[in-house]
Amino acid sequence: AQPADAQTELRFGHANGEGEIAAQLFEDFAASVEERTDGELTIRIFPNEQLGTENELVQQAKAGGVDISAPSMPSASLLVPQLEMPSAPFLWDSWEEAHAMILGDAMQPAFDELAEDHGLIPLTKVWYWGWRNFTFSDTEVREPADMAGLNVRVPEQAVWVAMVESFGASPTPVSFADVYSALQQGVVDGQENPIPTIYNRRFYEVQDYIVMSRHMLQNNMIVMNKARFDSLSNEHQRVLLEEAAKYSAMNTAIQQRLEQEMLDEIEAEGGTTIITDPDRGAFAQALNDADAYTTMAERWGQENFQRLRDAIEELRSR
Amino acid sequence: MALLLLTFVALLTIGLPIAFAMLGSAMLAIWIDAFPMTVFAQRVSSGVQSFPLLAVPLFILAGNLMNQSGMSERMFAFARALIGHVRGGLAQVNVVASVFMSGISGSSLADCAATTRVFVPEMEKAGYTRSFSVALTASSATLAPIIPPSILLIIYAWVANISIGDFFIAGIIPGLLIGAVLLGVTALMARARNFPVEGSFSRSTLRRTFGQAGWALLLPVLIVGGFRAGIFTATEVAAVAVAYSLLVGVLIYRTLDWRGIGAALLSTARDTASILLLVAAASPFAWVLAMNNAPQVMLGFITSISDHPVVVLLLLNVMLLVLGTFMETLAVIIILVPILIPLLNMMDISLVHFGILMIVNLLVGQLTPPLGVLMFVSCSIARVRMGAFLREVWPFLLGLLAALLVITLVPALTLWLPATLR
Amino acid sequence: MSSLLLAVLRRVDDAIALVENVLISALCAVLAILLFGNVALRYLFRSPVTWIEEVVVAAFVWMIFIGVSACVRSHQHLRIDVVPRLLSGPAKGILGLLGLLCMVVIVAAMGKFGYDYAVFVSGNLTPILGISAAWLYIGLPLGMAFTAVHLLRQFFDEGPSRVLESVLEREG
Ligand code: NA
Ligand code: NA
Repeated sequence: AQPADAQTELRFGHANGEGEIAAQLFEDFAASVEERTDGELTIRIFPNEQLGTENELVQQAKAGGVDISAPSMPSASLLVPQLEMPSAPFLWDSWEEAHAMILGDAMQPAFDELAEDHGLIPLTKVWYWGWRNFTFSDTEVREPADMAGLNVRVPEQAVWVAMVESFGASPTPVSFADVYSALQQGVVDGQENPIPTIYNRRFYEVQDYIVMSRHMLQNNMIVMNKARFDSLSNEHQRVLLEEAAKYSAMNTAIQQRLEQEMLDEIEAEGGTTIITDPDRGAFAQALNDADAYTTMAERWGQENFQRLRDAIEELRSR
Repeated sequence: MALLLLTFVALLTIGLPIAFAMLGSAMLAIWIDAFPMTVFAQRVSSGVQSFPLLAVPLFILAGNLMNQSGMSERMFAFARALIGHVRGGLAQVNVVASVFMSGISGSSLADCAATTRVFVPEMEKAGYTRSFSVALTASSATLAPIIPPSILLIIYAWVANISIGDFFIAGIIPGLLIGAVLLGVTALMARARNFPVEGSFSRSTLRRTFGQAGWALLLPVLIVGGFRAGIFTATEVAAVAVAYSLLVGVLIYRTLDWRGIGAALLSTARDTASILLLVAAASPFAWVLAMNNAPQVMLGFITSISDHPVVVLLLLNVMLLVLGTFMETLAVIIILVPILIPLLNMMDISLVHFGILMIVNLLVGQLTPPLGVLMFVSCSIARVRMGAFLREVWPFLLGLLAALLVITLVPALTLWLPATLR
Repeated sequence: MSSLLLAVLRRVDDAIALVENVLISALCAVLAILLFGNVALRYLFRSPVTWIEEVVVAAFVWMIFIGVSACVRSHQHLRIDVVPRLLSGPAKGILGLLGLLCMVVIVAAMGKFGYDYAVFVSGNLTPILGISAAWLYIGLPLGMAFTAVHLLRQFFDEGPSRVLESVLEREG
């Protein structure tokens, strides 16, 4: 790396709204970087899809239109398909497990491909967004059999469709803005989203059950254009990585605490039963029985997904 | 930002098509700022690469199929049977028929062309001057994008990220209000100018014409019902509307043949291309503005004048009226809405309410030079000079402005119906 | 330009126009059929067909950018005509030439940048069908190439000051 100019400005475009925790933490991250580099390195933030959607911003970071972006792993998988693997349904037992695996050797080839073929490096591989959980209107769902025949709103994407069909339910597309009224009017019998979404969008008001299925992990990353990163001084690079790691950890702690607080508040309001112990094993088994993982892994590369699953097995057997 | 705007105005002035003027100025700004040009190409392509926008060609197609099967004539005949017998009856018929048409047609341009061809000759035959007839037809064509279905409403909802179903329903009352205002202005003029009275009311004619027009009038019911049942996404509602229009044209009216369907498809593809090119062109333009902190500049500028929501809304009205006179409606929506959202959120102004009044504002500008698309279309079809048009259109413009003021000051007009129908 | 070359240009331009019109009408029909089919299938089999979204978005993008060219040929793009209307004689010709020049530069640059972008994303595969994303984006440069031919033909046949006129100015 070469010595940087006296002052360097990085452009950070992301898709999160200004009210969201992530947006606030990104601001704090920028302020912290500026402070630690005595104003030599500044980060200008473009929130709220101002410069494009999540998917488009990754491409812009690759091209150098922005320097930094914070895509979800499925978004980044448009460049490197196997980056979607950590979002596979019922893959993880716990966040600790997922965290270790995303940082570990089994996922490293995906990040190598991202750097070599697309010139993007992670400032942090982890930006916790939460587990997605099912909610239902009238049906107490504890195992896949309970879901049979229900209309469930999911994003109309291959992984979701394959998953819901494995459980015998019908995936039904409803635009995100219309989910609340679709649930209210009984057009769909349920939906799935992370707890903050269920809470902020008030889906729980029109749902009887929240099933803590933790079926998919939603994880984002902060990625940076590699050429731009390499042009910074070692000192600035170090500050960026350290601050990204610091705010990533802070984000995980805050989000997990908030998740619990939101659940407590939903429960206190009454009218919604939170099922904390659905039979996750049975759901995973249903996916295996339907051969859904094989279908999904066609996109990721069967050998890549096998590598990840082997590593998970190894971790669990330790 | 100055470079972007100056280049844009220069290209407009020398007479480039609006979309290409936006593309050229955005391209230059991105290039001068040394951004990769792949970003420009990405903004152009991804600006239109969106599933919700597919509702646009489908609603245009539904309207074109209805037009091909002779919708304007049927609507006009039904409206005539309904209120043709009052003083200035044919002028009132024009407005009422436009209200009906707007429940089928998604764009004011298509609507304006079709109604000018049918309504103006009828009115001329009955003794109205051609310039008055054209002015009235163009003014009532503003209803098409306010009453659902509407291309403008789809695109605003897409940009502002709000529910298209709710936004469609929000347009109904303001649309009817504007219709009522136009009827009122026409009634006043009928008395002042002693417009002709013709024919008398006939129940059997009403029944017969309703039997003809009723099938088409079911379409808006189907659309709103589809949204309310929540069964469909906007794209799916639009697809069902196409199938319904095809069915009515082929099986019930029996006026739609292969030739008509082909013509509807071709003109839909062309209309869609010219509309979506504006969307595509506005996207890199908006990107350059965002890169140059336009949202913060706008927020600072407006709040430095006032931080009272009503004053802000009135200020925005004035700004939009001015912009609407020389800018393309769609382009203004795509460029301005992202810039205004932080301000609107801060002021706690509903995006639904603002959207409707923004669209009404911009439509008023379509009736005036330098860029008055409705004026151009109706004047060129009926061969009326712009000066004669302007002499006749001002009472309607005043009426539209009064309606706009009411819609601005009474948010319930837009917000009540979507909240109630939930 | 020699009359033979001009005759060839007219032939080519007419052929392109025919291809464009057939193609965009067909794409429009495909859109409507697939999207309605998807609704119908959902209610019959209660299961969405996920590839439809990818196909219709691609058809949509192609319809738009090929349609843009068709609109250039039929003078369907709107412009503000205040200044061109005020001028007459040589001044009008010079302004028309200037506008046409800008237009050609913009069209050529769009074609070039559009092509570069298609190459840039050609390694990315679409999530469901797994085909190269370049297919989605190549419609833009192709539409711009067609546009260039239309502009050239209009330049020779209609004269520089009429190329950018909109259909409304011509009727009025
Ligand atoms: Na309408
Ligand atoms: Na105007």
